[in-house]
Amino acid sequence: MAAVVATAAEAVTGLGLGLAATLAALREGRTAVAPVTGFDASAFGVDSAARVVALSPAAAADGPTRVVTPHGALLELVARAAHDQANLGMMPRETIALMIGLGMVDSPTADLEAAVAASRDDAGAFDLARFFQGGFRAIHPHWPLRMLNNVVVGQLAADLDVRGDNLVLAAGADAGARAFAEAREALVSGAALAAIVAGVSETFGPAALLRAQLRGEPGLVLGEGAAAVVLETEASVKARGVIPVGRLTGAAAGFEASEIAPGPTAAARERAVRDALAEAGRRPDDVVLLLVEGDAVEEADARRALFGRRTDVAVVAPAVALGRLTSGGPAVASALALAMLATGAAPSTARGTPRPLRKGGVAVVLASGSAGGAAALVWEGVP
Amino acid sequence: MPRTDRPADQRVVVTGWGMVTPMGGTVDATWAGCVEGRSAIREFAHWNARGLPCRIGGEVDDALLPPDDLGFVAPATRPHRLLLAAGRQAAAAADLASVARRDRVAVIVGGHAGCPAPSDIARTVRHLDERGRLDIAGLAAEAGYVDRHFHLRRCDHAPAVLAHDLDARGGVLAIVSACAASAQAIGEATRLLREGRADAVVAGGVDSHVNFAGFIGFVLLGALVKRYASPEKASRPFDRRRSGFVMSEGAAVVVLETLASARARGRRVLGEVLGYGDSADGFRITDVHPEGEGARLAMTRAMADAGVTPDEIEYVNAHGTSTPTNDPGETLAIKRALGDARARQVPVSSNKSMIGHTIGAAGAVEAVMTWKGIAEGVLLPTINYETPDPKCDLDYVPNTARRVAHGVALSNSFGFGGQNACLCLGAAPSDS
Repeated sequence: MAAVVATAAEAVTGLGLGLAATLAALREGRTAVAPVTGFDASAFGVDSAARVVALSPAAAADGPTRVVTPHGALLELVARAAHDQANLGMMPRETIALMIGLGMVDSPTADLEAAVAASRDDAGAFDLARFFQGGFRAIHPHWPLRMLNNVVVGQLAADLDVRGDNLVLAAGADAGARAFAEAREALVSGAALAAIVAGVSETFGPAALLRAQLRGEPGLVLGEGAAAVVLETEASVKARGVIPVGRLTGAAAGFEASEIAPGPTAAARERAVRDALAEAGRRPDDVVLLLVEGDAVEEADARRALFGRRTDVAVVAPAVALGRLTSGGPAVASALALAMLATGAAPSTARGTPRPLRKGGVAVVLASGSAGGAAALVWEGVP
Repeated sequence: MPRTDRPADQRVVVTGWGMVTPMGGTVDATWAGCVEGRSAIREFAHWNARGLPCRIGGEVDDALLPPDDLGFVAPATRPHRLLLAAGRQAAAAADLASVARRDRVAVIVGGHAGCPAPSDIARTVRHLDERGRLDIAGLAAEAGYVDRHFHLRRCDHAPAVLAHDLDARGGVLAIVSACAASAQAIGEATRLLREGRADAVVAGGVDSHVNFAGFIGFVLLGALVKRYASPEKASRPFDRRRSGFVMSEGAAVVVLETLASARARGRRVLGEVLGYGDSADGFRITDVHPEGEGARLAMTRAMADAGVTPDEIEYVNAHGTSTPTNDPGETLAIKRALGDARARQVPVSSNKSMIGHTIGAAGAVEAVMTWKGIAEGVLLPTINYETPDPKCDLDYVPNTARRVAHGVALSNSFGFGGQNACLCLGAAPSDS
């Protein structure tokens, strides 16, 4: 399949409101992981998370965008920035695709509080019958919209005035990676001239911590974050005279679960990488940078099967500092990969000296979902 | 002419399908009910909707579904069971097990996972303090709830279970674009196959929101039917007295592969995906575009992808929700996509008048009904069409199925929130 060109990338993470700020903080060995505030998280296996504290979702919601969820605000921020960076404003709106990997959307219990209060019986106990016979009408009016997965994407399309091909995928990291593959297919098939591909983490809250605990990964640290990359065909880039920041040359996915949770087998992960490299016309020897979830023994097994004991592959697990970003992870990793290829160096996860990357090598983003799916992307820099 | 000049490895065909709807447990059972113009809408039997302004919908007979305990996932949720029922039918019909490369069998499903049951809600509210705030520690400590919550809300879990069940290892994709989701699943599967990235794709949709929590969201949105003489008369797309959509549950799944693959495997071809188009309204998340711009774009793109002109479209399976805003908006969009004169010649009908709206499953249900109609030479009716609406002035095949040979059709699916998808569908190739 033909390669497509990246013409912009932006990210917002717990380490900074921008890709450059995030990369700089990673190089300095900083972490965004901190104790959870805002609710009592002591009952969970992990009471820390890597949240985006610099951005006030409330402030974003009060703006002209009318975003109804915090992760919608993150998505809006990165997508708009990438859209503007790539100078998409002059393109016909129906030629711009929007492909989104969307983290889990939960039922926000705070929206139900008034309805619960209105449904108590004379003794003060919650009465389910009262709830369904009228108490439910006190539910916050935004609750249904917050529950619908695609609404934030519909809002984003309206705010950016993009009317092209679109897709909303959920809910694991594999979905975030597949958004890139689907965008590339839309571009190659001629269905779009440009695509804003973005991913955003799940809504953070008690339910998210519950799920992390249930995934059988009690040490899992969740993060908040989003990133967007603009992809275009080679022809579009030439016609518009924009400067490429990298190329997506391979994408593949696999599924295999020994159990449905907590993730794909090593074989599925390895196959995704091999197939993506084959599609890019590359071999494991060409890989100089590998961005991983760092989530499982199976991932380490896949890495060993692919690269043996090679020491010239820089392995970066952004989640160590940014937390697990689920569907937002691959977009953030892709934006970081493009920046690292451009600068020729990768930060060390272990806070060591930044590692130089061999010129002409490729970066692989390996994503895994908790339901058994794996996906890989191959990125190349601009010569 | 449709792009029948495409090479056989670029033409995507259906070799198996399966379905569970309120009308029945198979494609044939659903089809038969729709040909007769029957309504599957009833007062809810599985839960008590007393107190709600709408108490009707389409429920699938529980006896048609696999048991709760699937072994590898317990307890299975309603979407798990619906999707497995439809997926197993499709896989068996296509003899999917004989596809050698399991790493090249992908699964793409549109749907939005499950909803908490009253028992889940009751369990949750036991841990609300006197001010209504949730005692998360108390909830977390109560065994049972959390596990169920995890499985219920994961959109990609039921598709993963289906992939596991069918030993499909080519990747799982969960699409969550509301009512456009499963039409997009079929469309994205088509692209995947054309590009040679899979040997077969299990594509479809599932949703089940006919329960307390799922239903209340739509009640609050004001989208459900508000006035009806009887359950059977409630869903009345394009009729002047329509007042909202009727919620249903269900699942539909197809096995897609290239025509070359179907021939090589000696499989019977049931229909062809000629083209796919999608779009975003880019307007408002709670309102359809007043001129149906997003819907028009999706239809125009599907025709362009198929290489057909409006004059070649012989039938439109409408999104046709029975809401006051969708039906005139879709009517206008069809006129804009086909041209006013052509639109007035093309029959348009809505299965939702009989089955109700299965949300994420609707696109796949309606695609299969469209293919079946092409194969049988029958246009399904729009039942409950009694009072014409001046804003809905096309031929909606009112109340009675019509026997008409036709070969190329559009199937529309428009999602709340502004995602639109359209499939251009054709007959099985004569030489398949």
